[in-house]
Amino acid sequence: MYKGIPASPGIVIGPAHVISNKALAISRETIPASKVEAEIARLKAAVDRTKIETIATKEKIEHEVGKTEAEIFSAYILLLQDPMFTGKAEEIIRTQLINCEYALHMVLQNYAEFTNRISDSYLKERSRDIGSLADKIIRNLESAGRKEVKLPADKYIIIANDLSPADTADMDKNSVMGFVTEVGGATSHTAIVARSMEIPAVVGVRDITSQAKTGDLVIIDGEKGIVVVNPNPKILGSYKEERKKFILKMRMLKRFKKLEAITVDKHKVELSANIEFPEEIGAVLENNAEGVGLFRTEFIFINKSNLPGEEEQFDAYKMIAMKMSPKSVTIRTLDIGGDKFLPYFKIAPEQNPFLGLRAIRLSMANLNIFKLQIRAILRASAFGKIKMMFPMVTISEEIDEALKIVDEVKAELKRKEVKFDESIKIGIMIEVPSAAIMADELAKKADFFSIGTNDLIQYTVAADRGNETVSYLYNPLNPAVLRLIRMVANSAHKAGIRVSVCGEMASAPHLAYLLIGLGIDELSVSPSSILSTKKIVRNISFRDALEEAEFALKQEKAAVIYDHVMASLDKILMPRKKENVDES
Amino acid sequence: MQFKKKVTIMNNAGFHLRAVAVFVKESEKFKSDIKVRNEEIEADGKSIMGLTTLGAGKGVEIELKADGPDAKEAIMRLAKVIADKFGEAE
Repeated sequence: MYKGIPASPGIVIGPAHVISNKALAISRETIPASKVEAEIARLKAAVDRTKIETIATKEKIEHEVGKTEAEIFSAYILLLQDPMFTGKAEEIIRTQLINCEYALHMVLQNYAEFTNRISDSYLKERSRDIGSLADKIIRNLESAGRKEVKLPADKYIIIANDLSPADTADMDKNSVMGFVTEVGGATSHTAIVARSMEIPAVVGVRDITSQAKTGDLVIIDGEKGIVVVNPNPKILGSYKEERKKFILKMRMLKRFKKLEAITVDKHKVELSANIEFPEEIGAVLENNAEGVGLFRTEFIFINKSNLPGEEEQFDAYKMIAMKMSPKSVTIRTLDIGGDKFLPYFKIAPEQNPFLGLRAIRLSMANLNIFKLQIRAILRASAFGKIKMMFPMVTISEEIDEALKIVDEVKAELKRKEVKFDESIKIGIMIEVPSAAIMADELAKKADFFSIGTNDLIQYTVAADRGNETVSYLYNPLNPAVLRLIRMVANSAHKAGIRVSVCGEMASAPHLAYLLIGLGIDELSVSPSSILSTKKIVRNISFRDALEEAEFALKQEKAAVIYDHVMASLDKILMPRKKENVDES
Repeated sequence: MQFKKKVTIMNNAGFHLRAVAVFVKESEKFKSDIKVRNEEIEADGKSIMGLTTLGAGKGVEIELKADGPDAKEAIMRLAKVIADKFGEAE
């Protein structure tokens, strides 16, 4: 049994398909002079196959992610024809009478001698891309001794050193049951894509590619982060039971897909999805979310060597707007600072980064970045239903200033006759106590509110939840937090605008129940939590939720609120749960 | 005909694979032999692999050399590709 990091929940049992992406074991073999031409033909065939594959990947990425992301593949295609690369390998085969694999290996070694001298760390790192291209060619080499990759069965579990987000998005859900990787963390791009595609996954399992062989029976428990290779009958039996329960639960949830998110007393709650990456759109649509309630734009900026341009941003926003249309997409402007930084954009070190230059503050201090993003969002708004929102608004002046900038950009676009949605809705995130307290005033200026609960909680209780010594203070049920949420909801409704919650708080059943009672109109949760949240909505009555909230607002301690809401929820869900099982 | 010019890398990421690919697509259009030098390292101006060994980051001054019938046009064109930051938006 191996322990890794839980990346995507679910239990699967199936044959392993081990992909070794470690340096391929390459042996040096001498070939007779008479075989030189055949060896070169073997190299050329492999290069051609690699080229065809690369073109296919390029087209797929271009189509699904964007032109800019696909550009690197054009470089690979050119590289495959480079005389210094494949040409040099050919020369080595001819002059030194050795096998293709080793010839390619020699070319790379020679190349590494040069690139190791590079002082620019980014360029040095990137030079390794060429090595991965050579690996691809070697995998494509046909030889009597090398077996073609045989899949163990129609359905299998992938075990690899690492999988790129694109590899993950590429997975065919009909054949890939789940995956295990040696590297990666729970918040890595790959893990997020796996969760939204609902492929069970465990990451960070050290050395698993040498522990499991293709064809071994493997169990993945994506909730606990456990991987079992060749289990004994007892363990296998208990996991089979667990899997049955999991499938039953998923099947029950799927039935909520087509149903409306409405309480038993007909109160409508809008359910939308939070996403971080374009690859998650498929899961958003699959779970029938009513829109994207929060599209974090940081992914476009992070893991880049330089600031993404307007076109790159525009392409990403447009693609998502088009895929979601006619449903809406709420795009949040850049939210960095705090614990998120950009390598190419340095800010002076701060004593208290979370109380420093982050989110809208950082955008306002760098108007070129802010305007570029607003322009890209506005242009994309011509292709679907886009809403824009600003993170971490603290004072009223910030809205005035931000709206003024939006107006300037709009005027500029009009002058240039560029199309955009002139009535685009612009909202703000309420995640700072000062904004929550002044919500009645801010509601006059914003088209909608979205409460970011993670930050609102941490700023209200002045405690970092990652700091173990004070994390006990970080509690979504803190009565001060609940009172602030109620204030925000009341202010919004008085001004005739809608209020959503897009923090993690929205997907825990007891918290969703309370939030609805506090007057929240829309819950935005991760794509994979849409159906479980809808199940809660459809089982509760709005009148009960209001009462529950009234009770909570009168308490002084979070623990009392917790016990009460859990007891109420148990009463509501227990009998119905039985009913549901009977039906299926 | 020989022609030389010193130019400074302007884009943030420097002479990375994608930028080099843009450069090579242009250099291949010329008949002249093209070399690019960063201090003591010289690379073939038509080889992606060679050019990435230069490790030329932002702000580095490199020397472009062309030898052949269209040497001057080649250098002017390639200097412009670098000045235009390889078409990268930033």
